Amino acid sequence: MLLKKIVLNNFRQYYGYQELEFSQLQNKNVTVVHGENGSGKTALLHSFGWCLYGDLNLPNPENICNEHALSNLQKDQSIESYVELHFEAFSKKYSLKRFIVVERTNDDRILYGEPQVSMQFIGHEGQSERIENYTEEINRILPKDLRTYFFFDGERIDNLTKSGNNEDIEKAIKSMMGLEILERSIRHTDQARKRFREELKELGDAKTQEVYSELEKLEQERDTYIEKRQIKQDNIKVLDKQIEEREIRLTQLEGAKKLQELRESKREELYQAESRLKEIEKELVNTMSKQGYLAFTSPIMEKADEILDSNGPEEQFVKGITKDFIDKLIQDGKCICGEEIKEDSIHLNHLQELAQATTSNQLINTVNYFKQNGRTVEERKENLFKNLDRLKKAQSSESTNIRLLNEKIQEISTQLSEHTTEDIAALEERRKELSNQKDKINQDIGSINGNIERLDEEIVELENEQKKMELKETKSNLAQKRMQTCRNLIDVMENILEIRETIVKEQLQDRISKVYSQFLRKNYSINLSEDYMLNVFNEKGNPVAMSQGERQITSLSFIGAIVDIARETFNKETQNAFDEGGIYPLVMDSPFGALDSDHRERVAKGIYKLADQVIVIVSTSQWEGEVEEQMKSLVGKEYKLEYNDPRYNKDKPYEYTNVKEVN
Amino acid sequence: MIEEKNEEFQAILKGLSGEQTKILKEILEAEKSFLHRENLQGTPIVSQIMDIVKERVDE
Repeated sequence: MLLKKIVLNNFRQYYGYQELEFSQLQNKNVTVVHGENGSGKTALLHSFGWCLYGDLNLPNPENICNEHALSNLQKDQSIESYVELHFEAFSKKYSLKRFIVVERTNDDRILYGEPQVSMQFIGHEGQSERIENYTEEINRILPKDLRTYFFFDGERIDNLTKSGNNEDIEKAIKSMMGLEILERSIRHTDQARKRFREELKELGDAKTQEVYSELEKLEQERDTYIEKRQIKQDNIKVLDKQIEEREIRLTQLEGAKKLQELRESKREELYQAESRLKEIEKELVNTMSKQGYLAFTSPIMEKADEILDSNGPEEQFVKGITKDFIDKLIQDGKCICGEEIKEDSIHLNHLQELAQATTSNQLINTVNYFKQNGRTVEERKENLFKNLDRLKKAQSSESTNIRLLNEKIQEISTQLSEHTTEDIAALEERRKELSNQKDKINQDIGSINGNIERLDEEIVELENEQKKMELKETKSNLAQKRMQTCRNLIDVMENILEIRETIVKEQLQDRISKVYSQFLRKNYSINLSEDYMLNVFNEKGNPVAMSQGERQITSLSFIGAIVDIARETFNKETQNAFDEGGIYPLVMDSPFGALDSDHRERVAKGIYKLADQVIVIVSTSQWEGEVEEQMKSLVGKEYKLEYNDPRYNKDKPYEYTNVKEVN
Repeated sequence: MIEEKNEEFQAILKGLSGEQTKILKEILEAEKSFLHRENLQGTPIVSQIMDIVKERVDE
């Protein structure tokens, strides 16, 4: 989607007809709108949302119509208040108008009509065609639940990095990167599979019906457990938030600050130690599964050596001479001593006996090879024992380390609980209660997982039984085939989803890191966690408590990265059915609000690269200086919002905003 | 990592039979047409998937 033009007519403080065209130039893709405080910047940002989705997230949202226009309205007259948006998407040109009609009645009452919408696109032959299902069409072009990412308020944008917002982030990523479509397909194909099963159940004999009823029961039971687990996981999120709030509070209290910081650093050490222990245990399992057999080779190898040493080929055969050599002597008829070898001579007989006593090189080689291997097996066994010994020591040392760290963390908690300052002790006590509740819920989740696992096994077992059942009826056979086709496709889609989720996360991680390093001065790194949380770490790898400006930059990097990748996917030459992507504009109100001068410069320098179209709505003071300096060569259109202050303009003693293009 | 995963992805697609590929493609297309509906209630998506499967698996 690329925005072409917005028209505001008697909308909020925009009196009369006001129009802004947006730059669509490739090398000057920025449109800047600047104005003083109160000049209507935020109203402009929200006018996009109102026009597209009918939401107006502003104070007194019912006051759509401009006050001065209303006061000028004569009896029995009406006016239109509207926002009209012109844009291009999927190679079509659209115009969308949301409007209300306001009427002053004969008895001087003001009547507001219901908001109405008219949407058209320009057809291939230039004719205008009306779109009736405009809500669906708008959502197809720019999904409503993603609007905050494209029309964002810089002063609220830092919310993205706060805990509890990972679900929004996950939703945005999945929607824009084509993962949501796979999730839905899996869900709906499974529903189709169940309906085929119902058909099969109706067609089948008593045994078939029994198996399917049992399967249904098990699946329902599993779904109930999955729902319960979801509720418990949501509860954990709430508890995590409450614990975090208390811990933040503890870092703010002078008497608890150091202890809380120490606890955080010990927790980090604990996390590292637990990760190391996991790696050690993994290595132990791998080593044992791949080389464990070596530990049992000693008796076999000893026995083989014994046989070969006492009764081996060396004892039975002539060594050092091969049969081929003796055969050659007999064939030439001359011994190595020069004596002729005649038929029926004792020399010939002797040589023939010797030839029989020799053996082929192959047998000797095999025996030697076996003995050599025996030594290698012995060496590998010794190495295995050394390796296991090393791993066991490391495991023991890490376990001790973990125990000590847990004790230290426990000790910190006790110190805080027994703190002389009542607030601190109370905060810690509450934190402990919450933490205990979380442990309890985690235990419940563990038990639920156990039940789900058990049910999964029972379902698989029953499904295998069902596959073996011979179906005499053709119709039943067909229903079963269809059911199986759905099952196979679900497996395929689940595999694809897992792979694509990994790819998308990797791509995003890479892109966010790049954008982040351009925008942020400090050498922090950003990480998109498994559960879609944006975490920032310092050079030592410790989590960072970010300032508002840093949070703003982090969120901006995320949004920039996702818009950039969506664009890249959309523009890919060879797209497959899973590629979603799209062209999205970035419309930002006060993106530089909480940033210092250096960061303003950095963001201004790089922001234009993130989207095909960037619209920056900014206060005059934020615009002038480093931002203007960095962006002026990128600006294709520039507007100033001129606020008419009734206190100073006696000719026009009413409030309104006028849009003026700056050339 | 991305390359490796892309290869895995391609391998899965190659491992599908012609019929499976067609069904998968048609399911995704059907889903796309409903993707941006605010409310899926009342949409025939599950029936549509059943029809897609029925058309391709008919003997």
